[in-house]
Amino acid sequence: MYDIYNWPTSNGRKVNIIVEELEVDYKIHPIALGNGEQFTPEFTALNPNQKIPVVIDQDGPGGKPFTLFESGAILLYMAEKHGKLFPQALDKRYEVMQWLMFQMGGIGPNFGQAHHFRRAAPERVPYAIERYTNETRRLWGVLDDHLNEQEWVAAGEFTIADIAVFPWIMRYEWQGISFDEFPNVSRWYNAVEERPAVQRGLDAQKPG
Amino acid sequence: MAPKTAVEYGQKRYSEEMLRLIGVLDFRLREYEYLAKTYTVADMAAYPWIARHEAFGFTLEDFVGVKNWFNRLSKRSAIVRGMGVPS
Repeated sequence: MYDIYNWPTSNGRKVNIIVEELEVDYKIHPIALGNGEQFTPEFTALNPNQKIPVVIDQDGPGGKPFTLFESGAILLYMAEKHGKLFPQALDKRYEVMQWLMFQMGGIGPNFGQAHHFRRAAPERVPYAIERYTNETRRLWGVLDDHLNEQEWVAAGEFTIADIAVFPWIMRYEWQGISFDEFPNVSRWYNAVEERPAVQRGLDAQKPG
Repeated sequence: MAPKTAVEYGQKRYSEEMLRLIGVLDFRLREYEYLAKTYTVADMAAYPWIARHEAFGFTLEDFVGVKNWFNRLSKRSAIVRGMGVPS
C-alpha cells in the first residue's frame, strides 16, 4: 500500500497516474501548496527539499516502510517493483531512462520557470519570459521531431517516460503554445490522454 | 537577447534557490558521509556543480557537511583524473 503525499501539479500528477496504471493500492494525503503545507515539520521530515510528490511504500524492501521523494525516482521505483512500464532489456531500459532524464532535467525545470515568469511572478521580467519561453519551445520541438519517428517517447512502448512528460505538456496554454504547431506531440498527447488509467489519475486530484 | 541591465529579480530568485538547494544537500551530508550513505553516482553527479562554487558565488565555509563531503571526494584519484586537475 502506498501513502502518497501529493498535490495536482505536473510532477504530482505523474504519481497519481502511475498508481492507476499499475493498479496498486494507494491513499492520497493532500499537501495543499497554497497553504504552505509542504513546510510543516512533519512533511519536511519526509522530504527535506519540501516538495511533493512523496510516497511511503508500506510494503517496502525488507518489509519496512520506505519513503521516496523526486517524481522521477518514484516512477522508477514503482515501475521496477511492479514489473511494468520500464522494459528489462538494457538498451530499451536506458532509452527510457534517457528520456526520463530529459524530462526531469530539461522539461520540468525550464517549463516550470516559463510558468513562473509568464503567470506567477509579481513583476514582469521580459528577459526571463523570453529566455524560458524560447527554451520551452525548443524542447517542444525536440519532442515533436522525436515523436515524428516514434509512437511513444521511448522504447517503442508506453512507459514511465510518457507518464513523466505528459502532465507538463498538459500545461501548453501556460506556455503559450498551440498543438497546431507540434502535430506529433499532438498525436501522442491524445493517445496518452485517452488511456483510462491516465483519466483516473488526473481525476484523483484536480488543480484548484 | 542579452539583458541590457542586470536582471535583479532573476538574480535574487536563483541565488536564493541555489543556497536553499545547497542547504538541503548540507542537511543530508551532515548526517551521512555520502548522499546515498555510501559513495555512488549521486555524489558524482553533484560534485562538479559544487566544484564551481566560486563561479556560482557561494562559499563552502557556510555549509560544513557539503564542505567535508567535497574535500573527501576531492581526494579520490578518479575524481582528480576526471576533473582534469593535475594530481
